Amino acid sequence: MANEALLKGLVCGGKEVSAKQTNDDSRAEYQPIVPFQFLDGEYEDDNNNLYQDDFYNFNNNSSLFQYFPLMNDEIKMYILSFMTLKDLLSLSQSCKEMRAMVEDRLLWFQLLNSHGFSITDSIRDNSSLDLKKYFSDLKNLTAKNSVQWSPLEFNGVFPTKRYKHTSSVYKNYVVIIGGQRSNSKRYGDIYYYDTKTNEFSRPKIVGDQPPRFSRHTSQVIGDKIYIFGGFNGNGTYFNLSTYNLKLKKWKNILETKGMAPDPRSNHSSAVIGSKYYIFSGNNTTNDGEYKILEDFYYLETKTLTWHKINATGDIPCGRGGHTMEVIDGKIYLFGGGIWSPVSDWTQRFNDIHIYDPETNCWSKPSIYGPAPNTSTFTTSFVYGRFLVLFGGGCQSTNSVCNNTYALDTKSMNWINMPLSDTYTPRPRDMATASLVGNNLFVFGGFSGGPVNYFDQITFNFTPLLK
Amino acid sequence: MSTIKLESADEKVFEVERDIACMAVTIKNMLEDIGETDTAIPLPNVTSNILEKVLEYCKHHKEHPTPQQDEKKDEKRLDDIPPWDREFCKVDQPTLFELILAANYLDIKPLLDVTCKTVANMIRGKTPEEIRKIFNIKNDFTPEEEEQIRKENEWCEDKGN
Repeated sequence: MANEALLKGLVCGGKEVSAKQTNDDSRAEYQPIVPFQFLDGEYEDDNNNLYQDDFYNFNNNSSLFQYFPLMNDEIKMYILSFMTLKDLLSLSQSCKEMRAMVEDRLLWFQLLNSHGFSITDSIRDNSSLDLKKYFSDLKNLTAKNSVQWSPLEFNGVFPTKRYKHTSSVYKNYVVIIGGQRSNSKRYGDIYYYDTKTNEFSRPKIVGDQPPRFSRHTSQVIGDKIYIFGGFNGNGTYFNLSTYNLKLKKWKNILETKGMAPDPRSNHSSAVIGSKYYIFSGNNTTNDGEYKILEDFYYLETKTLTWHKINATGDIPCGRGGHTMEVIDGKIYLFGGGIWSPVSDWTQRFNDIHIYDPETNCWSKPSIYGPAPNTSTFTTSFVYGRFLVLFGGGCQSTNSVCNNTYALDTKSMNWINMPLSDTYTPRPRDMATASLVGNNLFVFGGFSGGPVNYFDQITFNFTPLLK
Repeated sequence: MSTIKLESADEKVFEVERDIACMAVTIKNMLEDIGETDTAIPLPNVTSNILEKVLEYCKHHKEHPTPQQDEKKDEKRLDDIPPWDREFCKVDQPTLFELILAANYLDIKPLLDVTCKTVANMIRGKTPEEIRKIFNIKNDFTPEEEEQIRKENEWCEDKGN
C-alpha cells in the first residue's frame, strides 16, 4: 500500500530500522519532550484522511502542511499549544478529532502556563470551569489595549484639588462629597459629574449643612448615600449622615438603634444588600491620644440599627487606609497600614482578607502571582469578578504609584495590568474611582500635594466568566 | 575539541563536535550513560538528510546563542521566531514533518518549538474550511453540528491575541 510505504519511508528513510542497537538498556531511558510514538499501524486507520488528490505532489508551498493528520496526538497537542485562542476555536470547527483536542483541559493548562498565568488549585480542581473563557478573560485583561486611560474633557464647575473625598455612583452621575486640600482646609461641598454630558455641577443642597470633612466613607443604598465617619482636622469626628439623592437633602442622623461604633476616620466601608459594613480606622481619645480601632460593625439601614460583629476566623488586624469591595456577596479587604503621629507608618500591608457574612467568618486565602507593590490609600473598584487596585502608597517606599493590579477572585491570582502606551496615568493615592458601565472615572487624590486629576479608564472587554 | 560520531538510519556517519551533538538531550543522556566511545551512536529514527539539517540547526545555535530572555514567560508568542530560524523552517512539507519528529525524538526543545510554531502559524486567522485544506483534515461534522459549534464559539471576539 502506497501510504504505508510512504509512512515507513518517512520514519526510517526508506530503510528498515538499523540492527545496530548496541545500547538497548540506555536507550530505554531516553525521554523525548513529547512521548514518541512510532508511526505504526495505528495510523493506517487514519489513512482515509489523506483524501486530497495532490497529497503526493510534495510542493514547496509553505502554507500547507498535509502531514498534520500523521502526527501523533502528543505532537499535535504541542502544536496546538502555540496557537491563538481564535485559531484554536476555528480549528475545533474543522473536525471531531480537533474539537476533542481543543476541549482537552490539559491544553488550556499548558496555554495558561506558557502565557505566564499560574494555575491555582481552585482552577485545576474546578472541572466545570470553562477554561477557554477563563483564558480569554486573562488574555484580555493583560492585553496592551484592554484598558485605555485618557484625560477627560469636561465642562461646568470643576471641583477644587482634594483628597480623601468620596465618590458614589447614582444613575449616570458621579457624586463627590467632601475631601481635604490640606490638614486644616476641608470641604463640605457636593459635586455632581454627569457622565452623559461630561458636565460638573454643584447643585444647591437642602436640609442640614454637610460638615467640612474628609476621610469618611460613602455608600449608595437605594436613593440615599449613607455617610459615616470623617474628620474635620480639628478635633471633631463625625457620625452617620444620609444624603437623599432624589431630594438633594443632607441629614445628620442623630439617633440610631443598637450599639453605635465610635466616630472615626481612615476606616473602610462596604455594602451588602441593606447592610453598611465598616471596619477599623482610627480616632483620637478625649485625652488626645491617637488610637487604631480594631472593630467591625454593620448598620442595618432599613431600621438604622448598628450591630457590632464578632466574627471568627483569620480576622485582619486593626489598620487605616485599607480598602473594601464586595464581590459575589463577600467583602474583600485589601492593604492599609498602621500609622501614628509619632512614628508615621510602622507597618504597611498588601494582604487580602475575605469576610463571608453567611458564615460570619474572615479568611486569609493563599494568593498567587506577584504581590502588589501598593498598600495604603489605594483606589479600588470591582470589574466583574476582578478586584482592581490603582495607585496608592507603595509598600516598599514612601512614594505613591500608578500601578494597576487585578485580583482574579476565581483563581486568587494577582495580575499586573499593563499601562497603555498612549496615556500614562499620574501616580497618586487617596483618589476615588467610580464605575459607570464600562467606564471608570478617577478623580482627585494626593501626589506630593492635593490634585484634581480627572481621568477616565475605558475597559475594552467584559469578563466572560462571573 | 572532542568529537563524536552519529550514524543515521541510512548508515551515514557524521562526525560532530560533542557540544553541538549534546544540544540534543537524547544524545547527551546517551553519552553520559556509555561514556567515551569511538563507536558511532546509531540514530535509527533519523535519516541522513534530516540529521544534516538538525546538526546545521544545532551548530548555528551553538555559535549564535540566543540571549537569555528575562523572566517574561510569554515565550509562546507566535511572532517570536527568530529570522534565521524562520528561514531554516522554510522547507518542503515532508522535511518539516521529519524535522518535528527528529526534534522530538532527539529532544531538542528549541527546534521542536520553532517547527511546531511554524505549523501553528500556517492556520493563523484562517477559517475552519481553510484549516481543513491546510492540514488535510476531513470534515466529519454534519452541517447541524458545524452550525452548533460555530454558535458555541461566537463569544470569542478577535482581539488579536
